[in-house]
Amino acid sequence: MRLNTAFWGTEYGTFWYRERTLNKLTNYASENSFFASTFTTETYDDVAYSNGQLSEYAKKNPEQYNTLIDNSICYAAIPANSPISTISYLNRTTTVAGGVEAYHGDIPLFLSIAYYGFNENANSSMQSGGNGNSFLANRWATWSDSDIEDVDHTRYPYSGGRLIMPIVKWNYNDVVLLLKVVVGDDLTNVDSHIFDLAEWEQNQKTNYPYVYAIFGVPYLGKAGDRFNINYNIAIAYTGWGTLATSSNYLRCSKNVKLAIPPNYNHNDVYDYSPAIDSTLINYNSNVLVGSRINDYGFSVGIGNASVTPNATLDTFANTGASNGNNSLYMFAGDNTIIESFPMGTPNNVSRVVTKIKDDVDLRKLMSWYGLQFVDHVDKVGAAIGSADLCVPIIGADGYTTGEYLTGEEAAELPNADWGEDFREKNGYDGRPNEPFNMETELRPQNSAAASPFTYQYVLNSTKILNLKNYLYTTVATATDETQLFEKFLTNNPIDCIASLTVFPFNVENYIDGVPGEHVIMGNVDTGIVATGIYRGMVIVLDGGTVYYRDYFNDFRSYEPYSDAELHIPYHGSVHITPSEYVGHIIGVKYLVDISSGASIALVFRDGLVIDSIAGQIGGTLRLTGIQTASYHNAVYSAASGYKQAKTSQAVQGASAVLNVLGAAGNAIAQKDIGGVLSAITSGMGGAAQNAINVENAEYNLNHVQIPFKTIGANTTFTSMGNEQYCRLIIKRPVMLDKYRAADYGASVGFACCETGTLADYTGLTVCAGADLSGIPCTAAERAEILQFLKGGVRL
Amino acid sequence: MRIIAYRIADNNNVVDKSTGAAIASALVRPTAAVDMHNPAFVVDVNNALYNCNYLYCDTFRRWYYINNISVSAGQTMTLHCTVDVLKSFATEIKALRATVVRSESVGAPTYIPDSQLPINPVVVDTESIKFATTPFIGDGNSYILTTLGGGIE
Repeated sequence: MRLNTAFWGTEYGTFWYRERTLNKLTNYASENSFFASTFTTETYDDVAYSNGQLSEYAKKNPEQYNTLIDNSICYAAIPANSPISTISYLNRTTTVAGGVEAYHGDIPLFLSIAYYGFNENANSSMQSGGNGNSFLANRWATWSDSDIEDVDHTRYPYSGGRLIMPIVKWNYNDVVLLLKVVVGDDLTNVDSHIFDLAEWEQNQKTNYPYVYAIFGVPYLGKAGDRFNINYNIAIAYTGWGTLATSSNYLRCSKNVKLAIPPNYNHNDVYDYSPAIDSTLINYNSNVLVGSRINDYGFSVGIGNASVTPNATLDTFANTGASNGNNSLYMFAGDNTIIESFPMGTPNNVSRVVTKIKDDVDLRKLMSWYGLQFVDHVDKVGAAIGSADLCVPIIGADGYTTGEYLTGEEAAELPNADWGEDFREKNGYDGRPNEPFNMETELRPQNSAAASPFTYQYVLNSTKILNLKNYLYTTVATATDETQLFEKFLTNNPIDCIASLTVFPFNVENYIDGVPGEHVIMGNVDTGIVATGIYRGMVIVLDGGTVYYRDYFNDFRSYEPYSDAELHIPYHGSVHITPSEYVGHIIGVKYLVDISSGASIALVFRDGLVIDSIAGQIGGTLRLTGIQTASYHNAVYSAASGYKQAKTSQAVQGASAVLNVLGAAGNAIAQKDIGGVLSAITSGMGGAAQNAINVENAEYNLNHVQIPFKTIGANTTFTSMGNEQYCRLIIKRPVMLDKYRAADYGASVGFACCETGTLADYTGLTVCAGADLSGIPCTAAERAEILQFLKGGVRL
Repeated sequence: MRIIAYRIADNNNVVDKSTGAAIASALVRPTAAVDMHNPAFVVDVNNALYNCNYLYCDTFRRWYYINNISVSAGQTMTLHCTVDVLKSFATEIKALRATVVRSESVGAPTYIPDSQLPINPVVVDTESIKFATTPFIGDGNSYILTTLGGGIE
């Protein structure tokens, strides 16, 4: 069991997603609001990541995407019943009595972490969505003193005048969510209140029984003051500073965009594009009628002249309530009911509210996010390891489970301890997957590689046993002579087997097969039903990806100081050069020839194949059986001999009697007693020989030898017992025990190569050279100064 | 020509040395030519000067290390000095543009290889990072049977 995970931050940028958007969930609304996909609905995109498991997530949750989805969609690696994963379509299910429409099912939601981003231009403002204003430009001028790590912001340059936010990773151990609930006293006249979860449960539940939303206010901390900093309140941007002096760098918000005006000619399936009809829909609180719940939900104004297109499309989270900012809201699909209500003032206006079902365990609901949490503000300051902390459980597959631990059990968990270096705990902390379609193009399913002279079938273990029984069957299963002939006498089926190869995966998932075909051997139909393969002799398997991080962020991450290799199942190990892969996604794909089992593992750097190694994924199996046609031919031959011997015995027996009688008669007529005896003896000898011949033929018939045949041989299968996952093995240098960076810097200085003004440096500074022409000194003094600079001065 | 004497503790390679308060001041009475680089300042005997190792000469507008002090007849003492070019031209030096190859203020190793960094020559740290997915677990095995005949469309 693993606990928690490293969540990934967000990307910002219209440009970015436009380039990447292939999924049909996307609904372009306008130039500025384009990405209505699984997780985003807005003019900006805030997306959560976790461990780069998008592809895996997509495989496990295909039902979440009833249309094309590509790897570019970001996601949170949580299972289908998590709130995040339910963001797809909202299905309008019923129209209930009284004109109140009820909607159940998915509700758009996204997790927005690190909403504010790094701005490479110190004084430029970010168009960071939200209310469309230039949001408080942030200000991660330095990353080193924060608990948020810049993964690689250089990958996201400016484009089109917009800033592409970096992906920011923050350590789960640095965040604790304070759970709050938005509650009300009734549904038709909603008056919302916000309490800490524990406070509501203990003291407010009677007065406010309805839970409209639960959200978590993230508290961040650094070593030494963890959880004591509440970044709940935005601070005006005053300049670049460190995280210690700025705030609001973590932002989680719910962002619901939904329009259900009763007279709107909408489709049964909604998307969340804010531009369904910009003349009717507005999300800005100041034009929403009866929008008293706008700090946690959404409201819709309809047919109201005051509703005007709002280019800035306010988010729910920015409607003014302080708790709307920096909060992680959760509306789980199956856990929530959406209902609309006609409003009293003004008339003819509907409002949509959401309500969490009564039987939902709110703490479990929050556990799907995988973030540790507390239920009361008084517990926020609890150190990690405290019994007050609730730690979500993440299963071995890396997915959250919706369960959590608390109390001593959670407190004692080692990975909940605060450490100086959390990197090991992050494991294969991935970065968002990139599509593998950039440079290297593979050509699987190539029918040209298939031989027309052979044919292939995919068999499972049951079918293999059927095949074995068939190959060991003689006449017993033949019901009549015709079947006997068809099944056994035309050829030896085992002679028509070219090979049998076993693969450690289900081949049918990768080939264009035809199920329900009979296995044909030569011209014999075995009657065994299997999947035939018409094409796809070469298939591609995805071995997964991993991000090769720059561990040191200096030269030590590279050769010759660091070394790396990839263990690739069935292929051995590949030495890779760190400088080629550091800062990139390493991916492995297998090209597998399913005929021979041979394979090539391709090592990708992002989308480009850099290295490859040959291997053998499929192993041939020894296959034995009876050469049934040969056997039956031998049986027929022996039976024929036996029949011939019997016939010969009968014919020659009668003939011999006549001969004996004739010879004996002649001998008696000649009174030749010796001749009589000789004739009798001769006749008896012939009969005895015939009997022997019959006996031999019968023996031969009863002892026809069954001819066995062996096809192929077993290959070595030790690889199947080896590690089945690719592994990136990195060997990094270790500093000597008494190394202290500060002392080293002061005494030796850190190697660099920079050109700048010396006033920008402090401490020991060694120069390769300098232009001293401006100094009003003597030549000797100038030479001495240069000598000092080269030897090192202290500034 | 006047000198103002100090006592400093900074290394010679410190550009902007911290002098602290002046300890003594004296009027120089040249008895011969005074070299600007390695001057010998003749002043009246002043016991406070024995505690000084650094001085400023207003005439030369330079800072000097006091290398040695000798006392002569006539109640005079001679301060044997060497110019401190770093302090004397500190402002100009700090305004220089230079190519820096080592720096304390960089604060940490950079991408420039540093052969002097004390890396343990025999110990390495090994990390094995498991890929998130594999096709070889979970779907069971498959057998591919290749036959002569069959597949005739």
